[in-house]
Amino acid sequence: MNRLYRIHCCLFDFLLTFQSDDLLARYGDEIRLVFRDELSDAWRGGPTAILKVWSDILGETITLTTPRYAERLGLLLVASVLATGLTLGTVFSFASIGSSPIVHACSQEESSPQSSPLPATSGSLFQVSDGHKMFLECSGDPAAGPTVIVANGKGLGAADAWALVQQKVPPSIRTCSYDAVGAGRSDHVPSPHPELRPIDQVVSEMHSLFQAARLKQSYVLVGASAGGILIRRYQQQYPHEIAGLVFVDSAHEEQEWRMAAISKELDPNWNNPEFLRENGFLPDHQKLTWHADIPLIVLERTEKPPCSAFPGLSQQQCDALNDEWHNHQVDLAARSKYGQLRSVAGSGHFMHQQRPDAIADAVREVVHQVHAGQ
Amino acid sequence: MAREHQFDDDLLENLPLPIASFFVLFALAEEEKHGYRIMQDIRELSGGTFSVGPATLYTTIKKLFDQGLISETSDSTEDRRRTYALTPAGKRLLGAEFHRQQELLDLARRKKLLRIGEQK
Repeated sequence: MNRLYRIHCCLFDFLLTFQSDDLLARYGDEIRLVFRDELSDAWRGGPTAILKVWSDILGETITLTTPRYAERLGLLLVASVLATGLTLGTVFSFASIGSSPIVHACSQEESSPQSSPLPATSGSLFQVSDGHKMFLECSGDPAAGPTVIVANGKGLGAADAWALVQQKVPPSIRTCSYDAVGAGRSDHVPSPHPELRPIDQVVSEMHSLFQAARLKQSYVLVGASAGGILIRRYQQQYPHEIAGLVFVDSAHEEQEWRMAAISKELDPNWNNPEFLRENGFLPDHQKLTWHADIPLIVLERTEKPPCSAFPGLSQQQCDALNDEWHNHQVDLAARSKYGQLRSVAGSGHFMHQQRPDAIADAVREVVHQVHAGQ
Repeated sequence: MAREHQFDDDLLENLPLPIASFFVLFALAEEEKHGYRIMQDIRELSGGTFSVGPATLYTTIKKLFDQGLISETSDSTEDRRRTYALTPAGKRLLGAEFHRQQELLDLARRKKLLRIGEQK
């Protein structure tokens, strides 16, 4: 039985190699252990149980890996078609009128990377001041400035969350993103959860990372949801580094007490000083004083969360909550004399997934305004 | 303790939850668990109608962790297994998903398409 058992395990390990590297790096050992537990249990249940385990595993391997391999197959097909086209073009030109058609064939080859949907990215780990390693990746022209940085650590955690946005920003703009401490490929910390790290610590890790990676100043920061508060805090601490900002359906520093005025049920922590401090929210009735006359675009969702999402609130309270959110966006746009407010059709709070093109457009425009102001 | 509010809006737009995410959160609702226990409990909770394999389980765990819905704890005393627990945000999202399902059931009942309690 032992030998047979080992053969099962080897077969499973082989199938596992088809899964993504990312998944295996983080959970490979545990996945193998879970399979061994499952197989041991099935062993006691007899051949039918073992067969059931394998049918599930084959099913999930096909489901999980097919999209990735289909994508690769697609790329292979495109590459083959391109290669055939180039070869035929060259052969044809060789047979007919000399060198000029070869130039034509070469220009096709050069234009192909530009039309590829994925910008060239380069990711590396950098050690930041508190000893943690953080992952950062950039796309676009390395010589271009300002550097656009999509922020993580509050609101969103890992660089991958911004992938759709990063793909839509033109390659003439340098765009970087990173995994916050505790998320993705950056160092994981036992506690607190990455989203609960104090905001000042997150800001200082960002600053240290940008320095370690020698990102070209100045920066345009992009922050979503609670990430809006994060990038305002960053601008406040390092104003000389920041040339422009894009807020993606941003949270607001006053929102805790303003929303508690609608219903105290919404967040039991609305008056908890530690919670407020660690997330950059202001205490009861304290107003935001932040102001920065730099290029700034506020992107606001148009699809509101349904009232059923807030059990316990009346329709009136729910409407008041949505109105308050809108007021916050209007207020943020007025925090710079260059501020613009844009309502993004077809987008809820998850704009980075629903309308990445709208975020990329805003980035392009802020960068354009920065250039114009220089 | 309950620091969920800042993610409310993000979270609620995740609804309805994909079935694997729903069952992983559901399995973690009572207490923290390691991977294999989650797998067994999913089978039990769904009455055998739904099960996940190891790779699907960890693909889901990875996604939920990256979204801040579950947390991981490494237990250095016992091999290389981590245990997983709901974060306050995860709890809230699961609650909202149940609420959404409840509303659908209520609707079906009001339209007299389903007579819950009269079956069997």
